[in-house]
Amino acid sequence: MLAACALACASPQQKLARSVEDAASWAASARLVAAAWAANKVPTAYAKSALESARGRLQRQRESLMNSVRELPAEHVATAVGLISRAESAVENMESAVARRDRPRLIHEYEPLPELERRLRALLQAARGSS
Amino acid sequence: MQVALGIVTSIAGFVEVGSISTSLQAGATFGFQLLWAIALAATCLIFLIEMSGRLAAVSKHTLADAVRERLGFGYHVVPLTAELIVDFLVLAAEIGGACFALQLLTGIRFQYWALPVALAAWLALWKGTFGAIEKGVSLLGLIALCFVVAAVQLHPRGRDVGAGFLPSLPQHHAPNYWFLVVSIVGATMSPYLMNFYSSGAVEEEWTEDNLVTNRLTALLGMGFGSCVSMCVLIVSAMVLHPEGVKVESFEQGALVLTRAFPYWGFLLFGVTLLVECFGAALEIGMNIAYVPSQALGWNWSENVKPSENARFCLVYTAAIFGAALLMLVGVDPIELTRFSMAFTVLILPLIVLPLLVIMNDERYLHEFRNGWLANAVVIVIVGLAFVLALVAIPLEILGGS
Repeated sequence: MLAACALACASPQQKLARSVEDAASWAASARLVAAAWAANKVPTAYAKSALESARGRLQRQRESLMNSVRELPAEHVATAVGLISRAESAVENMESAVARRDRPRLIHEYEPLPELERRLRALLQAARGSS
Repeated sequence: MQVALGIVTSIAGFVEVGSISTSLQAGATFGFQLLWAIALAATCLIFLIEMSGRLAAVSKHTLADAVRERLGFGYHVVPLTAELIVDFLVLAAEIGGACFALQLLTGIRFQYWALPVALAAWLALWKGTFGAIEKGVSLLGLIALCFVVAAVQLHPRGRDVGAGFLPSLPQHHAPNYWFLVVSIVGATMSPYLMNFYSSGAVEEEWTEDNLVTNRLTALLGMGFGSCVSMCVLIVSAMVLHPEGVKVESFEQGALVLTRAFPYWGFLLFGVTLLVECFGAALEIGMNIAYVPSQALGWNWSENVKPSENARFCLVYTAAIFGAALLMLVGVDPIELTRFSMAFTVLILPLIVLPLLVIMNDERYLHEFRNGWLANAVVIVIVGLAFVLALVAIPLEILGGS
């Protein structure tokens, strides 16, 4: 309820910044979980559950941005939604690799995430700059 | 020996779901920048705990007991109700933390652990004595020292850590920064600690001979306890902050020890969260029964058989299983912790203000009344608590999500 209230109080630029920042944070979490599982530092059950949570949160941020498309700069929204979709899809592939206990495949799947995170953060700076 | 035990108890009592989650969030989002908030809250807590212990040792009254007697039931019903609500929320958050730790360790969803954890906590309170619970929780709770070892192993730069002790304004996320300050104060200066500490002193039949022990326990115990919280923040700042991870779930926080302890870190985090939250749930479960029993004049003691203080046992039984129900329906433990920490700050003035009156009352403290320094500190704490109470909810709306 408070989160909904906070979102309602925020300006469109703040909403964009918050969604993009949260997405970057969850993408980074997924990458750390995957790296830890690949190095045998965390159990499979945890890796599955944490990746599922990360994908769910990414999906929530993407949907939130798509629902606010009228209030926000179209160009920023399109870029953010595109980046978050790619991160979501990478995390989904990582989930499959963990389910199959395929470590080499997992490492290959999370390779795009650092670049996606970097681009999300650049977008965040741009959103903050224009607010 | 008694001082050493007191210190160990305080360290274990200090670290619980609120301090772990707020320190993880603060370190991940703001690096070392919020160390000052823990230091400030811990300093205030040292004074408050010392006063609660002194009150119990000299007057043989717990805090709740003294407030009811000195200010009347008409006044006491307000802080009593507020504290019961906060204690219930914090109890649910602690049970939730223990359940989430079990989810991390076993892979079984946390909701399924709500009833087993509640049952284990209830059994420990039903069968245990105050001393056995206190010592058991304290010794097991020392596992939290793994955060101290991790902080040392990660070699943070002394200058950066030192700068964190100087209050500074955030460069971004100002509402979130101030909300975390409120949460850290709420997690550190939890009202239950004061009443629980004074109840423990009465249970252990402290006298004026224990005043030195009380002072040392408050100073060193709370001091070392806050060091553990600071180390949680430091480790989070070293591991999660550079990666841009904001901690919104314990699943994200669970990786925080894997750099310092590559193959044991995950397990250590899970076990630490489990032990600290379960231990705190026992202490809050006891306190939730102490507060109304002392206010209403019922029999109360963890050291006698349940048949001799049935209403005391009924209260903790109802509270524990009621709190477990919140987890059973799927309330997010970290969200609940965040909310209950803000609510704790909201009621802090109601709890601290009567302490100022009682600690200056000759009938209770005789020649051991507060000096000017202790009074000045309590006045500052009351002022701080009023300001934080006013801003807690607006900040929760703006920065808590």
